[in-house]
Amino acid sequence: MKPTKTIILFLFFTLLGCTKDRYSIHYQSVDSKDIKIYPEVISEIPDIPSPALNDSGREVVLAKLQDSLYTWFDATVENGDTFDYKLGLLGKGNQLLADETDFPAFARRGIHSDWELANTKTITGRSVSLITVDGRPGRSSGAGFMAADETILSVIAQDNHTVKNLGLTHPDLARPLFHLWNSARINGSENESIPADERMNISALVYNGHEVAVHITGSRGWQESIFSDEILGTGHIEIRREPDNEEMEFLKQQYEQLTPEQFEGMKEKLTHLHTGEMVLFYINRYGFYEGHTDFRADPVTIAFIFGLRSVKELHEAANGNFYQYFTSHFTFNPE
Amino acid sequence: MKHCLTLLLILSLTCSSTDGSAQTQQQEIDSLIVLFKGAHREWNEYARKFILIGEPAVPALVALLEDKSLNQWTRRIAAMTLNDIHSPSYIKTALKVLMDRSEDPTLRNQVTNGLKGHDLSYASEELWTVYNESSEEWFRSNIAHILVTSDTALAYRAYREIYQANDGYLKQQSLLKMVQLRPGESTTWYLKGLQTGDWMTANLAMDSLIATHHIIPEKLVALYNHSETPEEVRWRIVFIMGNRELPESLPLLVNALRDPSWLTYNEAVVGLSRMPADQVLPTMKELLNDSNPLVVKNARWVIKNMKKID
Repeated sequence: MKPTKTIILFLFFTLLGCTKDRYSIHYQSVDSKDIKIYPEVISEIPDIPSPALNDSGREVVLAKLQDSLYTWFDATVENGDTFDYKLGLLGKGNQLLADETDFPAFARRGIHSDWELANTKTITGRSVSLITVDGRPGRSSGAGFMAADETILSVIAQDNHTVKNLGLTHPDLARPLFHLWNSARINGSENESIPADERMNISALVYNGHEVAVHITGSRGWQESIFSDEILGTGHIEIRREPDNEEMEFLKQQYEQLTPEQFEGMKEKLTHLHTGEMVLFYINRYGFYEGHTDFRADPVTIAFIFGLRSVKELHEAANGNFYQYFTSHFTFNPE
Repeated sequence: MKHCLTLLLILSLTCSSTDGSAQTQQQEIDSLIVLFKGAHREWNEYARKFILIGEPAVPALVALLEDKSLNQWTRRIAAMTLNDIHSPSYIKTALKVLMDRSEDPTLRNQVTNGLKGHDLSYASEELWTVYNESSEEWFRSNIAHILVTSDTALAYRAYREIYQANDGYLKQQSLLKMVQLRPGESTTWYLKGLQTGDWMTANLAMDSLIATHHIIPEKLVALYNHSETPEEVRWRIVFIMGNRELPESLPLLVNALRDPSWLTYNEAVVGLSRMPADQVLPTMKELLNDSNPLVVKNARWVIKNMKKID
């Protein structure tokens, strides 16, 4: 084979690989016969991995219902019907859409290129300055989308660095949150026809061998996006996973110098997440987890809670210092 | 004779049918009033029917509002429905409630919506007194709104006070009203709005300065160059100038490339890339030899993105 042909073929397959898969994590396939899809329930945790792919390639996750029964949801992350609170349309929305216009490399690989971020001046046609000003606390949102000393690019760049260090992609981190959101959607729509006292709400997801406690609530009105896109938010998503003994031992060893209050504060940041549904779309579309606000979905926290990486790997990705990692704002702009 | 008889017959039939339809409507109003008196959360359903009926429903609703023996809730929903019908025949009662200091403050505030847009110049002094008596800013703002069509000088004075005393929606709305009342002062007010710490007001001022014909660019340039102008105000000025094709835009935006603020120089870069290439390119090419590497990088970005537009 001539060298030119080889190069062309190499480039073709590289490009094909890049465009086809933005995930670095792949799930095990399971036999669909073993999966009891909601509203069917089972009384014990089955010996089947969750999340997993069923025979049709659909993403299924095991959920715990409030009365200690378990069920599987088809929580596949995909583009679905319109999701627009203003129009009362509650479809899945564009869960796989990535901002290809502003971040072509990110759209292909699921992770930003440093060069691309350093040369970004607009996102969705809005200047990065305008997005930053609108996203500060007390502006388009009371809580803000980033802290007053952060910018849209300082936040995206720092989180991108962390995710890269973890060997993950942004869609890898959006996916467990979408799994939760999609399961809750199905659960919620089924529940509409059931009297309130007979409803079985999701209390936890079983994810990578961990039980992740979840609580989703709505609110009045909606929050507009800081980007020029269709994303809106109204819900509160609370997720928590307690560290197991081994993880706790590791944390105690590594952070014995912290005061009890500092240790508890750090542990809370690592094990608990409060965010809204906008962030799920933001992560997948822009690699944006929000800055240091009450709604930040820290990638390290997501990876810990859903068991995407071990506590040791996360500790290393956070430069060996969770405490500093969780308390420092991202003020360095990529130039 | 025959023709006269036919005409009489038609007339009498028409009258009786009008009477009949008026009677039916009155019956509908009466039954709605009964429902309204006992209404809770479903009151809106009845209110919509009253609004569809319109003017003929006003006397019955006014009677409800005037009846102090009824509970406040019933009187409030009557006022809200009358506000939506917005009939001139409601003015007298609405004014009476507004001027009556012994009335429930919520009800007094509610009737203001029914008075907005009407010429109440004969009552402007009384309205001004009511405005001054109150310390509740939303109520004061509603009175100021009534004054817009009753006494523009008093309305302007009221909005000026509200603008200074508040932040957020009330400040923003006061700015909007003041420039509507005195368009000649709009640039001055928008420049003030630009410098306020209130995001809603500053955004309104910024968007208005992009759209207005009354812009005085020298004032914006002077404000940008003032040593004490804060970062966000400088950013807003660059945003405005980058969205308007003014002779002052290019020099200001080029100058802003050296601004120490990340917000400001990035906005200048975006603004420059939107401007006509023949005006911007020569300067950008010169800047490629600048001693500041960030200026060089940003000039390169402008050149590259202009070429995309071309």
